[in-house]
Amino acid sequence: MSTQLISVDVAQRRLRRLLLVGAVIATIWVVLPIYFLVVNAWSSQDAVNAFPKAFVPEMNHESLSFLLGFDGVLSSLVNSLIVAAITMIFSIGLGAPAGYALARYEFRGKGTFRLLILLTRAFPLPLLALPLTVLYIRLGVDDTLVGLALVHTMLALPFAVLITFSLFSGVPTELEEAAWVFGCTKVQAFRRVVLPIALPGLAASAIFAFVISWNEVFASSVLMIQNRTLTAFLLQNLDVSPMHMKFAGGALLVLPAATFMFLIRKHLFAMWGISNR
Amino acid sequence: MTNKSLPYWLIAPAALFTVALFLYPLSLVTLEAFTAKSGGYSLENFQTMVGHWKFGTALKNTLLLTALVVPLQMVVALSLAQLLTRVKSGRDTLLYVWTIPLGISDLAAGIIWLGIFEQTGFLNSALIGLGVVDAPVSILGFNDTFATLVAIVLAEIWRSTAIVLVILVSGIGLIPKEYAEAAEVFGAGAWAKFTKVTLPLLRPSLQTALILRSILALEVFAVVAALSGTKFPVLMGETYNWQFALQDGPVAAAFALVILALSVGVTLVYLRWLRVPRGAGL
Amino acid sequence: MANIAIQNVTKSFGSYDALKGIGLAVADQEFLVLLGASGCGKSTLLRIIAGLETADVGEVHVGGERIDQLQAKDRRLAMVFQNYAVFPHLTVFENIAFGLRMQKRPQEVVAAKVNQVARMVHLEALLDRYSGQLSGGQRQRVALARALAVEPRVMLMDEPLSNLDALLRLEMRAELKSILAASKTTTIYVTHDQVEAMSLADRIAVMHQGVIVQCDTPLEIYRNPVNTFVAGFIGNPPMNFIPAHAVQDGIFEARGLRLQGPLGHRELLLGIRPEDMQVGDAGFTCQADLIEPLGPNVLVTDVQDSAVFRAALSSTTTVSKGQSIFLQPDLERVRWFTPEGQSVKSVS
Repeated sequence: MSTQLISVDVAQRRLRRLLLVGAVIATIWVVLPIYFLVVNAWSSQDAVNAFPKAFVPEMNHESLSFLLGFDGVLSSLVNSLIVAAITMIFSIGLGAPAGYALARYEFRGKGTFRLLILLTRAFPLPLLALPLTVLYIRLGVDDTLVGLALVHTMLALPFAVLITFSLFSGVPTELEEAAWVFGCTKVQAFRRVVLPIALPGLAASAIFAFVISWNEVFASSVLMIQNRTLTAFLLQNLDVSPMHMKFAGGALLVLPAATFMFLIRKHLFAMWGISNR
Repeated sequence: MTNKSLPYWLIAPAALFTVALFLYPLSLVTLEAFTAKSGGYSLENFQTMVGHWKFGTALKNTLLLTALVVPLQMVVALSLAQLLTRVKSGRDTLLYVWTIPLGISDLAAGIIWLGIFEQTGFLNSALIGLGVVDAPVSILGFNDTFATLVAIVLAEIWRSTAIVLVILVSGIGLIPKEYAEAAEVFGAGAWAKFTKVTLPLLRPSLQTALILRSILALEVFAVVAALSGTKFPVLMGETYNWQFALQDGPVAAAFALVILALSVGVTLVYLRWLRVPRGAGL
Repeated sequence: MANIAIQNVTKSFGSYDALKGIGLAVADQEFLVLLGASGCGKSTLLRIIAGLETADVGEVHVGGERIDQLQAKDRRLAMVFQNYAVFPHLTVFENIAFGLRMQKRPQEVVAAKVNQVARMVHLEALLDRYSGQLSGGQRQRVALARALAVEPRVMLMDEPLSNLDALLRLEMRAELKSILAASKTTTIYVTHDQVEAMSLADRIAVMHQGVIVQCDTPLEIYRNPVNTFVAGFIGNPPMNFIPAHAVQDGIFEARGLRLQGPLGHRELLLGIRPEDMQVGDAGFTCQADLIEPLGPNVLVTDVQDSAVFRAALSSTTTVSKGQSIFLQPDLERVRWFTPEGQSVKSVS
C-alpha cells in the first residue's frame, strides 16, 4: 500500500529541474515577442514584407526614419511627451498630499474617500472620455493637451494616492515627531525628514504615471484630432499604414516606456509590494 | 488651517478632481445614454445599440475573451509566483524580466503579436522553416474567427499577466513562512501546501487581481484593433466606432453603460465570492 | 520506542557555523530542553530534526530509524512554533485536525481525536472560532492541540511560551508540564529561559556557539556546572566568580577569606552563588554599595572591583548602604574553576 518515500535530495533535484525549465520557458515567452518587434523595426521595408522572415535584424534604420519623417509623427511624439509630463505632475501633485493625509491622519470621511478611490478602480475609466468630448468643446479645451492630461491624471490618480499612501505609511511617524520636538514646523519636518526618505518612491510613482499616460490609447484617440498623441496617431492609421511603419511605431511606443519601467523596477516592486489593497 | 482641518485640505484637491473628472462624467454619460435624440428620456439609444448586427457579436466576443483570458492568466501567474518562491538566486532578475510587459501599451502589444501572427509573420516563417506546413497559415484573415480569437487570447495573456504576477507575488510575500513550514511538518506535500495554505491565504490578492483584470478584460480594445481591425468586434471597439466614426455620442454612451454594468456586476460577484470571513484574515 | 540519536550534526550558513558536530541522545519519553542564548544554534538543531533545514554533515535517528534523509512531511513528528503558526483561514477545529487530515483519516476518527485533544487543552468551547478571534494564549493552545492530535513519536517545541506575558507564561508552563507528562511523548523543547528549562526538563542541554556545553539533569547543571559559562547562565542573579590565589598548596585566599581548595593550582576562580551566602562575623568582604529589597530576598551588590559581587540575603537582613559586611559561604556550594573557565574538582 505505501509508496516509496522520496528522499530530500531526490525531491530537491526534481524541484530544481522543474524550476529551471519553467523559468527558461517563461523568460523566452516574455522576451521573444519583443525581440521580434525589434527585428521588424530595425529592418528595411523589404525585409519586413519578405517571407519567410529573417530572425535577425538587418540593423537598417529605414523603417524608423520613414516613420519619424512621416507627416505628423514627430509632433505626435512631442504631444505624447507633453501630455505624459503634465499627467505626471498633476497626479503626484494631487495624489501625494492625499496619500500623506491617509497615512498620517484619522478623520471623518477617511473611509468615504478611500472608498471613492477604490470605486474608480471598478470602472473602465477611459470610457469617461466620451462625455468629456462634449464638455471639453463647451469649455473650449477640446483637442488640447491639457484636456487629455486631465483624463490621464484621472487614470493615474488612484494609483498615485494608494502608492503614496503606502510610501508615507512606511516612514515612521516618530521621525516627524522627533523633528517637531526639536523645533521644526510641520512643513519643515516634512521637507527635511519625510521627503528625503520618500523621494525615490515618489519619483518612481511619478514615472509610473508618465508611463500610464504615454501608453494610453482609447481616450487619446477619442479626444484628440489635430493634436494627436503617438498612440492616437498609430491607432487611427492602423488600417492604412504599411507594416514597416506599424512596427517602427510599435518600437517607438515600447522602448521609452520599457526603459523607464526598467529604471524604476526596484521601486516598482516596493510600491506594489505594499500597496496591494 | 488648524490641525484638525489639515487632512481635509490635503485630500481636497484629489477629492474634488475625482468628483469633477470621474463622478461628473459618469453621471453625464449615464444621462446621455438615456437621452433621446429629440430630447427627453428614452431607451432608444439602447434599442439602436442592440438592434445593430454587430452588438451581439461584440458582446459575445468580449465575454468570451474575458472568460478565456482571465482564468488562464490566473493559472499562469500563480504558477510563476510559486516558482519565484522556490528560486534561490536570480529571483529579482526573473521578476524584472517577467514584468517588462507592464510598461508596454496594449496597442504596442497588439502590434508585436501582429508581427508574429500576420500572413508573412514570424510564426508562419517558423512553421515553414521547420517544414510543418507548405504554405503560410492564415490566422488573422476574415474567416479565421477561431484562430483570431486564439491569437488575441495569447496576445492578451502575454501583455497583461504581469500585473497579476505582481499582485500575487506581493500577496505571497505577506504570508509568513511559518504557515508553510507548519503544514509541512504536519504532513503536507507541495500540492497540499499550495491548495490548503497558500491559496486560501491569497484570497485578498486573488480578489484584487480578478477584479482588476476582469474589468480591464471587458475594456479590451487596442490589441484587438491591431490584430484584427474591425473583423473581431468587441464592446470597447464598437464604443469607439460609434463615437468617432459614426459620430453618434448617445449610442456610444449606451455601449459605455453596458461595459460599466458588466464591470460592476463582475466586481460584486468577486467581492461576494472571495470575501474573507471575520477573524480569518492574515 | 521514540528515542532520538543525533550524531555529528554540523550546519553552516555561508561562512557562519551554526552547529559544530552536535551529538545527543534522548531517551524514549524523555523531556529534553535545549537551552541557550539567541544565536547558539538551538533552533537550528530543532529545525534540522523537524526537516525544515538539512544538516551539512551528520545523522538523525528516531526510534532506530534514520530520518535525516526524509522530507519533513514524512517524518511523523509534530512541532509547536514560537509564533504558533495557527492557520488563520481555518477554524480551531480544522487547525487541530490538520495533521489528521493530511493523513487522510476518516471523519469520525478525526472528530473524536480533535474533541479529545480540545478537552485536554480546554478549547472545547472555541472549536468553530477563527484564530483572529482568539487571544495569544488560546492560539498557543491550538498549536499545542494540533501537535498532540497526531500522536507524534517526537514532540518538538520552539520557544512556545516566549510570546506570552509573564503571568500567562507561568500558568501555561504548569499546564504544559502536566499535559506532556500525561501524553508520554519524547519531547525536545527549545528555550532561552533558564527558569523554564529548570522547571520542565528531565535533562537540559546547554548550548553555546553551536556546541552542547553540558547535558545533565537540571539539578546537576545547577550544582555542578562544567564551566563558568554554564555556571553563569543558570541561576539569576548569576554565580559570582571571585579570583582566588593559593597562599599554600590547597589553601586559597579570596576576598579576604581563606579556605581549602583543589591541590596543584596557583590561581583559580571561586564560584559561589549569591543565595549561598549569609551575613556573618567572618567571610568574604563585601561593601553594600547597592541594596535592592526584592521581596523574597534582599540583593546586596558590591561594585568596587571590576567584577561585580552579589549576595541574595534573607529579607529580614538589615544592611545599610555603604556598610562593610562579611559574607559566610556555604562551603559545600563553593565551586572551583580554572582561570580559563573549566571546572576543577575539589578534594574535600
